[in-house]
Order: sequence, then C-alpha cells, then structure tokens
Amino acid sequence: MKITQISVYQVDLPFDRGSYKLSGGRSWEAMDSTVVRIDTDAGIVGWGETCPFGPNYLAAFARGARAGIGELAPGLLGLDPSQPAVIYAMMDHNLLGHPYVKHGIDMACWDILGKLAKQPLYTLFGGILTEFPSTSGWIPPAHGDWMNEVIARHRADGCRQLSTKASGDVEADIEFISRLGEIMQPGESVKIDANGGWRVDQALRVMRATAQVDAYFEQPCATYEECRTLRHSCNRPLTLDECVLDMDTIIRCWHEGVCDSINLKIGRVGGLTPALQMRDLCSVLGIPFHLQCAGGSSITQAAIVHLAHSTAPERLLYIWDIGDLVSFNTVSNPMPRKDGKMHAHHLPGLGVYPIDAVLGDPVAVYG
Amino acid sequence: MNNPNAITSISVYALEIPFHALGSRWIGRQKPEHLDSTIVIIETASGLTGIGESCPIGAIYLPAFAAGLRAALAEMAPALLGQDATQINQVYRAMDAALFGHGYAKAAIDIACWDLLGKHCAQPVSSLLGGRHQSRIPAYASIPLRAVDEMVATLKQKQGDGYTRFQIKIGDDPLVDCERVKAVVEAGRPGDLFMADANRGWSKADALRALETINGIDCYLEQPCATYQECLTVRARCTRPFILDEVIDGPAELARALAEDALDALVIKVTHAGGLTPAKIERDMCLTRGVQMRIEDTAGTEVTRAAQAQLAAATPLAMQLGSYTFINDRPPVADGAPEIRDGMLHLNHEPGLGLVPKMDVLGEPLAVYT
Repeated sequence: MKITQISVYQVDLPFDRGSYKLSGGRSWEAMDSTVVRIDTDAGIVGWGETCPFGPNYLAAFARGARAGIGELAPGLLGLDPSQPAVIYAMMDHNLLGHPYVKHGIDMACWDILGKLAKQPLYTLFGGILTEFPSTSGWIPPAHGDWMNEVIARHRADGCRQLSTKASGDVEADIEFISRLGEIMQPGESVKIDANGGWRVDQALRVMRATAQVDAYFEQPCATYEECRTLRHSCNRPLTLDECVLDMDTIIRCWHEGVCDSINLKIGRVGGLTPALQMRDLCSVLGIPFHLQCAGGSSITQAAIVHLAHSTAPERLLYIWDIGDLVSFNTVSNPMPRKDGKMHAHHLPGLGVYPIDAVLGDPVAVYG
Repeated sequence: MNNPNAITSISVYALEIPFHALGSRWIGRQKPEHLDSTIVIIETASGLTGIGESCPIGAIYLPAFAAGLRAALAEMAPALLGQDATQINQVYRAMDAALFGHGYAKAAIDIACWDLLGKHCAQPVSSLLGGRHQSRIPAYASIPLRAVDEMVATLKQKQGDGYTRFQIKIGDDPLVDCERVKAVVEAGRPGDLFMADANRGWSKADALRALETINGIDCYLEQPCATYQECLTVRARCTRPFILDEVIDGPAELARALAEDALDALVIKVTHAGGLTPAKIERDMCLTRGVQMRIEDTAGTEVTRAAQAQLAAATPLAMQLGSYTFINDRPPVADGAPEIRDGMLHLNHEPGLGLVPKMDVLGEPLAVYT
C-alpha cells in the first residue's frame, strides 16, 4: 500500500460561549484546526487532525501545522501508511521536532491501518479495558449563573470531576477555589489548571489557603523544575501537563518522585504513536493519567476515546469532551456520550465520517 | 458463546531441544543436554489459531523452569477460556488476575495471542508492533567459553559463515577472561563487533580486576555480575559500552536502570520480559533513551525465533546489536520461520508470526484445556 495524496483542510472551531481564557491573560475566540486526509492506492482513506489551541499555549500554531505538513508531504508520498512507526521515523528524518505537525499525519496512518486490518483502533492499541471512559466536566473560571448552570448540567449527566482554570492572580484564585469548595458535593473532585501561571511561592500560597478543598492542581508552574520544587514542598495531588513532552520526562519525573499523575495530550506529545508508548509506560510505572488533546474536533475526540478504551481503568483518570466547549461538528457520527461517559463506534480505524461540506475545499493537496 | 474471537481451547505441547552449554559459571552447576520447551496453541470459536512458545534454560538460568511453566498454564487456563484473544491487554490482565508474576509462562499465551491477532487483521505481527522497518535482522554468533585458542578458532569459523557480530562468553577467572577477550578481538576484522558476556559469572571484585584490561579493548561488556547493584558499581568504572540482560526483569526495572544511567544496551529476551506485550514497552523505552538492543530470547524453536524477529523487524536497525538464534539438529516445528542465511534472519510477510505449525512434529499435546 502506498500514499498517493495528502490533502489539508482548515476548519475554524468557534467556542460556544465566546472567548476561552487561560492564566496570564491568554484568551481565544476559536480554535484553528487542520484536518489531514491521506489517500492510498488501495482506495483506503485515512483521516487525522491537529489543532494546537492558541499559538501562545505550546510551541505550536495552526499555520505552522500546515507549513509543517507541506514540508513533510513530499517525503511521505509513495510510502506505506499502514506502518505508523516507520512513517514516524521518516517524518523525524525530514523534520526535527514539531510533534504537533506529525500528530495529524500519524493519526491518519493509524486510521488507515485500522481500516486495512478491519479493526477499531482500540483493538490495535491492546483491546478494550475501559468500556466507558468518564469525562471530566469543564466549568467556566468564574462564579455566577453561567457556572451554576454548567455545573448543574454536569451533575445531571453523572460527571464526577469538574475541571477549571486558575487566573494566575493569587488573591483571586484563592477566593475562586475557596468558593468552589463550598459548592462541591460529596464524591466530587475538582481539578484546578493553572497552565503554568503561578510561581512556586504563589502556588504554595494558593494551596495553603485552600487546604480544605479537595482539589487536584494541574501544571501549577511553568517548568518541570519548578513543579518538582513545589512537589517536595506541598501535600496536594499534582498533575503535570505542558512540561511532559515525551517518555523521557516520564521516566525522569517518576524517578524523582514528582509524578502523581499526568495529563497526556496526544497532540502535544506528537500523536498516537508516541502517546501509546507513554500510555504503556505510565501503566507499568503506576502513574495515573488524563487523556486529552490540546484542541480539536470530533476527529481528535475519536483518537482520545480509542486510546482511553484500551487503557486500564485504574490508570485512566478522565478524558476530555471537546463538546463541552465546541458544539460545532466535523463528523456525521460524533462519539456517543451518556451519563458522563463516552464510547467509540465499533467501526474500523477511528470510526468517524468527516463531513465534506464542513471541511470545504482543501487548502493544500500534495501528490 | 457469541464472540467468534473467544478462546475455546488451549493445547500445550512439550518438545525436547538439544542443548550445548556455552559456558560461564552459572551453567557449570547444571549442564542440561536438552531443553524442555513448551509450545502453546490457542484456538478461538471461529477456528482461528495462534501459536506461542516459552523455553527456559534448565532451572537456574532465570527463575523459570519447564514444569513450573506448565503448572502456570494449568493455573491460568480456566481464566483464559472465553477471553477475546484479539484483545491483547485484556488477556494479559486476565492472566495477571489469575496468577501473580510468572511472566515467562504468560509469554507463551501472549505470543500466541499476537499471532492470532495478526491473522485476524491479515497483518504480520511487526505491523501491529509499530510497523516493519526491515525484513532482515543481523544475527550474532556466540563463542563458547573455552581455552583461548579454541575460542579464536570458533571466531574464524563463524566469520567464514558470514557473521560480523560476536558474543564472547566469559565469566571465569577474570584475568584469563581478559586474555580470551583480547585474543578474540585481535583476531577480528574491521567492522566486526564484539560483546564480552560474563553472564553474571564475576564477583564485583573480579569485574573490577578485569576492567583495567577490558577498558582498553574495543568491545561491549555484558552483565558482569549477578545483581543490578553490583553491575551499577562496575558500570560507573567501565569505559566500554555496558549491556544489561538477566537483571532487567521488566519495564519497571528498566525505568530505574534508565533513570540511573545503568546501561548503554539492553538484551530484551521476549519470554523473560513476559511476552511481546511487555517486550514492546521495553523496546519503546530503549528507543527514547538511545539505548541499543538485542531482541532475542532464552531459547526455543522456530516459534520463538519468529516472535523475536517480528519485534526486531519493527525496531530501527541502527538501535540493534543483533539477535541470538538457536540452531540445532531437529525437525522444525513450523514452516515459515525466519531463515538464517549469511548471518542474517530473513522474515516472510505472512500474517501473524508467519508460521504454519507441523502438527506431526509437535505430536500429542501434554494437556488440552477447553
């Protein structure tokens, strides 16, 4: 089997309720997603997506994704897409770094391998261990009617973990988290994602002042070393996210006793091929993890759900449902969600059907 | 039973394999002339089959022995029947729930499931382990622990057979071992690669006495002492690339070794790791830290050779030091196994492990669980 053509589509994914805010004043109105279609001489078509959130979130941006695919495409035409790690080695040979670019192509290759093997991806990832992965429920980073309405919806849906953002302002964050503690119900937990917005001293102040709230703190400080210092000075559960870029970091943070849990974002680490390796490593080392992506639509959601299905329930924390933020759909059969849980379609590959009319005309075609 | 992929039977076969000890102290205490290999064939409701094998070397090379392996299979079989053989990790969890440890027994079932999954998907196992980088894997020749002259003669003979990678068995008196390594490496041709393997035969003091000489010879040093901690001490003083083998029992031990910079290369023995599933994780971990590998096994037949070769085929060649192969005088248990020619293993492109078992050679099963 050979790759005959690579087509690139650009899709805007607007946030349903206007701007989406992260610590440090970062804010975006929509995600700029890049959908990849790989055609083969066998007639099998594979789909992938890469969506780096905003350009100031990670070292990744949408125009760079499309430029990167343009850089890689000539070297991929004619290769066998049903061997994802071999394709990956070729991508690494032709372009250093840029994991988020490779992510979109890698996902399309896995989709092709699944279709060739006539198996859902979860079978190729080791088989179903978690039949119904639980979603965490995003809530807006401010108290008020909107938050109350979203929390009520999550509770009605059976969601057990709420997830929200810190602002980076210590006083405001202490007040915000303390009030969250007052409205939480037994059995619920909350994950406070600072997206690296606190210094170590700031994180310590927030954590001490909110000690009564059963909260997880995600990526409190920007760097691994700051998080390590914090880890050894606090007794709250930490989740490492942006600073965990590869397996190497997992080995290091496991060895240094920093890793309570991680947030494994497929796009950040470079796609399903490396994410699978990190999933397996966390599984054997006893590190629990969330499965998410930086951004994306229902195509990315499918990749997350297949990976989640094939992950042991005692390792899998929560998956993200992009539908919490963006109701705009790129596929005609998004992942079903019921009682706060999702499951994949039992179809070959990713098992989703992108909608031509939504994708529009390709912005680039190679081959 | 509705699931066509449900395991309906597990047949267990025993096979005697001729064995010649290569040397080192550990084997001196127990010199098996035959190995007792166990081959497993699983069958699903749809009639699809998968084959796997695990073959310990005697009972003191690793904590693994043939009778224990069969007892473990009997222990796990009830929990395996009815499991979906195509859901690899589900099957492994069922084994872990039924029996603690004993990865070498689980390996036979795990390998059989990978074979079956490959056939189910109509893909070689290598494609499901990431993708096939190459279909030819360099083998290496092992030079048994003997007198210096004999070892040099064996080297020359193996060079003539097309080998360019050699393992020199040591683990005897450290100063005599140094003479062995020196003489063999000096008889090497440009491009030949040498690995001096003590198989845990040296004490820490032995290793430290030998290091002054070994450090001046262009070879790898493999598993000098019995424990991980002893090896770590030796490693800190060794300037040669350092290989660990027997002391790495699985991915968690490997993570520790990687974090403590305890090795430059790892021997991944598929059944010692617990099967292809954990061996693949070790492979991925080595790749991320630039640690070279030998992907091989303790011992076995064509089935073992096919399993190790599928993982090796799915691993970049630059990261491999070569694979061990067991060549002995007995009728093959399967057609389609990787052929050994010119110092290389040559894989076919058939689904699964690419094997067609020869039921007449396997004979009557020792046990059938249904």
